[in-house]
Amino acid sequence: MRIEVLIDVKTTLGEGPLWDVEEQRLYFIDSFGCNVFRCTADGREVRAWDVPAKIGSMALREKGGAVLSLANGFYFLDFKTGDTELIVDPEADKPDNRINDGKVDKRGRFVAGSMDTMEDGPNGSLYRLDPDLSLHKLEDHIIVSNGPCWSPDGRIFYFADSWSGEIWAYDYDLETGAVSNKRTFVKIDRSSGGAADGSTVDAEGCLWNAQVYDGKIIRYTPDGRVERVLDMPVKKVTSVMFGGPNLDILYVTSMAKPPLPRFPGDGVLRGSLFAIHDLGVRGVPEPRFAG
Amino acid sequence: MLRIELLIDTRAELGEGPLWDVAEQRLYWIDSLGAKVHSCDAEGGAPRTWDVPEHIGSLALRETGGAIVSLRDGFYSLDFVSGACRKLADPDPDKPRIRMNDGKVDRQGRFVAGYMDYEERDPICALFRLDANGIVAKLDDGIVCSNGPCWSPDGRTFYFADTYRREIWAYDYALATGEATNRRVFCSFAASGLNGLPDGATVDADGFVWSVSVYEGKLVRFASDGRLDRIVGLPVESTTSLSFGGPGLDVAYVTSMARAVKGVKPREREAGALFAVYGLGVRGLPEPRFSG
Repeated sequence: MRIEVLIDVKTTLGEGPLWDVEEQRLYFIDSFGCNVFRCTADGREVRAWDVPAKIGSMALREKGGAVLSLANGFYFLDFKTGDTELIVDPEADKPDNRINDGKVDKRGRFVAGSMDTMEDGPNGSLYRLDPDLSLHKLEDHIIVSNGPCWSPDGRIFYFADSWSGEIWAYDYDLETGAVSNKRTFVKIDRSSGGAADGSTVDAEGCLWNAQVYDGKIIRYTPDGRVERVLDMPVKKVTSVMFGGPNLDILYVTSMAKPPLPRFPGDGVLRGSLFAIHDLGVRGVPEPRFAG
Repeated sequence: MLRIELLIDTRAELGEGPLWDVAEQRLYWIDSLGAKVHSCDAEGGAPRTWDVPEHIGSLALRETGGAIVSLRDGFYSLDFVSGACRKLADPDPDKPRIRMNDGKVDRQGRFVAGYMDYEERDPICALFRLDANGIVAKLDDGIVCSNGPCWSPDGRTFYFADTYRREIWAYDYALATGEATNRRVFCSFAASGLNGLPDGATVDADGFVWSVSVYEGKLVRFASDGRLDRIVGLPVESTTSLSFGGPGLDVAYVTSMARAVKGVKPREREAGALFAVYGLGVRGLPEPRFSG
């Protein structure tokens, strides 16, 4: 295993690494810098777009461009012009919330959840944006939505409230996108201050989770056992995604500045995008949003 | 053939101060309002970034390693390994309306940087020289916005602009002492028919002065007698500074800004990117490091 700093643009809150197989490009975001970044597998050709509000996640669309979850709603982004267009704002009445982490299910629906920006009250919800642009609430009473992802067959949905100390599993109805049978998938060891942040599922069905503030990436087997723990050079690792030509590089985002003063600082590599090579594991191609 | 490439885009709010280091074969530049130092290789790969605690006006590498930076409230050292910044001198203390802006190292290893009025309106700023022994000396004052310090190849002529006078000045520069005297108008942007303002500048190996005409997106070259010699149009209007670099010192690296000016955002989506201009048929000179 080899961990390298792939590129360092000092993302204030780097998040949401996303490898697109078609373009062979890595996308990631700076939630607080209000940027979308793109680069090659080896960190070249860095490009950036700015978005008009804090950004929680993005996914590419089948028809080009991206779908974004911004602080004030779901948006489209046109990469050519840089323009954004509002789709729907489900929480216009909750100015202290913002929409956070999101990902596309195996049928092209975009699932993203909101968070309390003070990371305090259970004021957030989880939403599913269907290809017809209708929006559906999947879950409620969330403090900070993080790490939505699916088993390789798409029938198990994983999701975390960072401050619940757990990652949950749900049965996921591929036909309807409905979730049911919520249960505890794993309990996070919070003794070192860590919390579940972004997740991805590899081709073997194991879940990789970035444990922010604890500097660890943990691989869990489908039955919830800790299979592997990676110690990262920074504490504030935020999200993970497999990519590269063989889908065998794990890309890891991090944050340069903590979102709230109560969270710890970090060393000079804070805010870098890391690439972890030679894990002997492959990811699964990420679907695009069908809407 | 002239070719302009978008090398790397980190959406710099106010990209400035490109600097090619021959020893490292890497390019450095800054985001003044983003309070960041960026670095990449000649092709825009392997980007690295450091954050600094205040708005940053310029950066130079040091012979002993690390960098010297002009931050809002003075000269600082920057340790690239730890990321730590340490204040070296505050030449003009207790003036919240001004910040240190553009700076460069003279041919003898002294760092010269000047201040700017945050409101870009009143001539309340001065230009300073930091010697290797840490002594600070004032070179000029009555400036609104210091920009584009650079030297002739022999180091004996110092060029400098107050952006809002729309002129570049020349001074006699004493190699032994670093004193600047006999200020005169080197060139006038208005008289040269340019619509922009002089921002960052550099001198090429033939002694021509290159400046960026900011808000009109042009590289402009002046002969040593002040005659406008060449204009190169750029893809964005908000270009800010240039430096020659690359293995052959023949690539002009150009910074730009993404920030809104007077409430108006730049028209071009690429504003804020770093551009590389190839095929100018011109070489730069190796940039000296700060000897302190």
